[in-house]
Amino acid sequence: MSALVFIDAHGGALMVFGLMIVGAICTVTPAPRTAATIAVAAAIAAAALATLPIVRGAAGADPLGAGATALLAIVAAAAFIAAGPVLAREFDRRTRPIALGLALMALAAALATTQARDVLTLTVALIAGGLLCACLTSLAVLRARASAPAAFGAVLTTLCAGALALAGAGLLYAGLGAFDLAGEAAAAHAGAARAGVVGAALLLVACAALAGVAPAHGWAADVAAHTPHGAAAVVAIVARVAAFVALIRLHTLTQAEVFGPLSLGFAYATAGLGAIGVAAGSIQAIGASDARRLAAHALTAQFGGALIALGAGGIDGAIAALFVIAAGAMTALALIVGAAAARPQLGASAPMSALDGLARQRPFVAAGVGVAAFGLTGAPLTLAFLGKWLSVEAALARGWYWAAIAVVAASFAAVFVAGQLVERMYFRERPAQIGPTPAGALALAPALLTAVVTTLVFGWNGAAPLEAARVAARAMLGAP
Amino acid sequence: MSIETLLLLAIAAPLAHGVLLAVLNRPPGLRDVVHVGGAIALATICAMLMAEVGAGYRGRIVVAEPLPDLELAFAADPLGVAFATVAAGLGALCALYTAGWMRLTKDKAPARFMAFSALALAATVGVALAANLFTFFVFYEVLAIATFPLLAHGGDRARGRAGAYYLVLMLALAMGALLPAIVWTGVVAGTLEFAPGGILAGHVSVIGANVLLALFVLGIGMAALFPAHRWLTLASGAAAPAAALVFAVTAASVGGFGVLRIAAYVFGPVLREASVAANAVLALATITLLGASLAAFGRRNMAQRLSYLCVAQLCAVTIGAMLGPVGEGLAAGWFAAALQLVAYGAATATLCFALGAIEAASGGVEVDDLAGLGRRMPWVFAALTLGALSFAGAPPLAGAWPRLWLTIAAADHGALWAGLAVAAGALMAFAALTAPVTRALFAIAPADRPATPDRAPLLLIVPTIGAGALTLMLLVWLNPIARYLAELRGGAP
Amino acid sequence: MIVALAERAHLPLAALVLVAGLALAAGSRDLMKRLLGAGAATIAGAAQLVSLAPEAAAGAGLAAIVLLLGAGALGVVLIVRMQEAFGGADAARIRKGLDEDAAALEAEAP
Repeated sequence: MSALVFIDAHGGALMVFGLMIVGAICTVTPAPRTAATIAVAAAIAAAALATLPIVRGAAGADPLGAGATALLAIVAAAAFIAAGPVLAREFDRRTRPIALGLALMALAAALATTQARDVLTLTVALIAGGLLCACLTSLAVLRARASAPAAFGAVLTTLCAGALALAGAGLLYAGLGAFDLAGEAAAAHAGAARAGVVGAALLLVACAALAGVAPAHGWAADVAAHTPHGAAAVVAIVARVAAFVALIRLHTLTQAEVFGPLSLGFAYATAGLGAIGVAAGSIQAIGASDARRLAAHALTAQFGGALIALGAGGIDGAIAALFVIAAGAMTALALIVGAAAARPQLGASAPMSALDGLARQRPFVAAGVGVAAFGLTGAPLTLAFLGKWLSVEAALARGWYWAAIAVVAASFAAVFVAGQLVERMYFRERPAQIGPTPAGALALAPALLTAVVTTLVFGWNGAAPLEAARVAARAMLGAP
Repeated sequence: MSIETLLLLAIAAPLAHGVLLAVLNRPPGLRDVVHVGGAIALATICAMLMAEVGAGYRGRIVVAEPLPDLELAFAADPLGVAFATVAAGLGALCALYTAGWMRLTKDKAPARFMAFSALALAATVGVALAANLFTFFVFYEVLAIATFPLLAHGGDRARGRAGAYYLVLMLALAMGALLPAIVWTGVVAGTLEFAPGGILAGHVSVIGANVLLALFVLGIGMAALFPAHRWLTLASGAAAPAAALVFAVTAASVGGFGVLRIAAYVFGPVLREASVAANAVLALATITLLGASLAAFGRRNMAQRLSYLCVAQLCAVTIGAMLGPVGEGLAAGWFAAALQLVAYGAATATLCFALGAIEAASGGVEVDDLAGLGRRMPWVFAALTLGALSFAGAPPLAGAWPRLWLTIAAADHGALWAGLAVAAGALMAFAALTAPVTRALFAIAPADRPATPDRAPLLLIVPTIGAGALTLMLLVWLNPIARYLAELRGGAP
Repeated sequence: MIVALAERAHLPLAALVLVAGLALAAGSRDLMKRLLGAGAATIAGAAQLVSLAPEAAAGAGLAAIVLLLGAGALGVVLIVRMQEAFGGADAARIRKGLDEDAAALEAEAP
């Protein structure tokens, strides 16, 4: 069997199990530099493995999973390059390998979530991801007691979401007779029993909670604010986006014929949840006192926009949702990198005042954060603009004027957030008490470049991601 | 040189100009030469473009295509090219003025100011030459971002607040109203291209047309309609070159141009169906015009007085834009709005330059400070007088003819009250500007004034005289400009 | 009798425990009670899965339960840590401690 055929057939499992094993090895590696090297190599290998099918145009039967896996693996690889030097300033020699190992395992769980084609695998992967993110946030307790409530919140959310997911999986099986997410097996039944409907709803709630979709988003912002900077991208972006991809799959399942007229109810519920997310995320982003908390709320608002587009239905709505998620992930990545570059020398947090005067000390980082800030507003020629444009189009095509207004209102609010960020970075002086920005900003360059280049290049010419999103949407909806 | 090449150069040249300034910020002489040379180059390119379009050639280029049917494209049409040429020409004078101002005030970051002013000019030309609503929106946003540092330049807290207010307001209105209107237009009309006669005919209901018009006008905050006019009045504290650029050349002019462009090239005859919204905007513009003209009287500071009068002048453009074609006949209102834009730009630039030169020479621009100064700065005050008379619509200066056409258009539409309001505004502008000028020319200077005030530098005086001459020359060029804009005048379907 | 009832009505009972557990986890001010509520909900959820899809879900259900036990253990460790750091494991005391930390940070920053 040639290498490519093997990779096509088993690449996903190779990635997940490989990362788990390497992560476990990392946690017991005594030398932190060795652990960092292993972690970076593993993350880059995973990114290469995930991107290969996309580049070859051989995404197979699951383009959504392939695309999401590639996106998250690339984000994580860039984040791991930065993780070593950043963690070096946060933890002692003993703790750093543990943090790296846990982050690798959390990445493995996230990639398993995006590739899961059945409910059971999805449930286990989600719970594993939630637990590992909680473990990572718990490490920060070694530095500051304020991280403990955030970590506890993650544990509680994982347990509650896990409970709902397990119950939902059982009920779905009882109703549809299968765990298959594509709904093909379920189509054989005359109609989804009530149990199946309840099961699907419970699973949706579980995924929404773990993705940090409003109104269950408070824990996500706390975790983002308190998790170690070196692992923030994995916890605050990769894990959440993976759970959101699971949400998309489940929503698509509820739109299958087997659910009959209830599909419309699910669509409205999804869109309604999206509107809440847009409002809550946008308002809380304006008032955020911490840079990473702002990134988390901004991602919540983006998830809201994606849910609205998803609820609007059809291929256009699905394409818009995928664009919005990709744009949201890149914006959040740039903001988190900016927070890591600007963080105070002491302390685990990244208050907004740490961004003051960043343009003078780290001009390229500030420029990257500025691009992300304008991306948040949906400024033209950014990826986020295309996502917003497609979302508003999808909403208007369905006659959902309220949904279009919600998306536009989010952009409105984002202008204030972006203005705040730019004003702090370019028009204020860094407070003396915080001290100068820490060294090692070069390690953050790949992550920042990934975010900025993706935002701008695909904003200028969106043909490639549009085609990828169209293929994924068609496969998801079973359209020709 | 082909028209497509000229279109590309018209955008690329000022962008390159801005980048070059960011890099070559020393020595000061080189920087100033690059800045003025770049601005003159842009003016030359736009003039060449104007000649090509005047000869009947048209052209279109596509620079990017983010999504299918969503192009970043530029096209050469009479209105757009005329506006771009006026902006570029005034921009060249502004560049010279800026060089002088930066030297006079020993500014700490002159290269940054000049780079952003080049970027602002690029965005203005981009808006003018935009082939569709998407391109218009992109460059409108770029303009808002590029002009913010100009308004906030100097580190002054008041300027910073004014600049921040301007930026947030413009972006918020653009995102909140203009963008949804554009997307909606694309959904119903199936295209975003500007076309003489509009693109909405037969595609939108009466209610839809009214809502769309309201969104578009609300979204173009640079047009300074109440209550969005405040950005202009707050910006009166900006440095003189910034005020000239923002009020006369870029942002404010783009606001008026945008409303006209959308009325004539998106709505066209559908403006009649959107009569409720059009009349509401007409009423709002009229109230804003009268209110701003009255408010100008209460301002003792000439810069503030000028800012309120600029609001009133821009409202005249909006009034003209809302007075579209009557039946199959003349679109006198659109034609008047286009002429008003040209006259406004020249007169405002003249007034801003003159006030800056006066401030440089005497240290203040309060009305009381001007007494007797006119006799010591005759050239500057001659330019100021020309600008004031054009603002006031005194024939035979350029500012008179738009008012005439506006009155005709208002009568055609049965909205004579709008024409009367424009006339009243003109009278109030006359009183508000000529009274201080008269004091300057004929009053006796207070005894404690120095015998000879410090003279303003030549680099400030020359552009002031140049702008004044331009205001005067428009009298001669008005006929060719009117023939050039004939497409707009006979803009019925 | 209870065993007979459980055999006949185990699904509704599990659903009840699930809802009650979630309500306790959401509503209680004491962290230990919240953890217990979440734990009970988890067990109820696992019980539902096991009873509705016994063969198909055996392996995955076991894996999920092990993970959730791990989460529970982590929760206990965090409660102990918070008791040491904040002097108690109720929401009010922790909120007070967090506010003190935030005030201390603000006092240092401008």
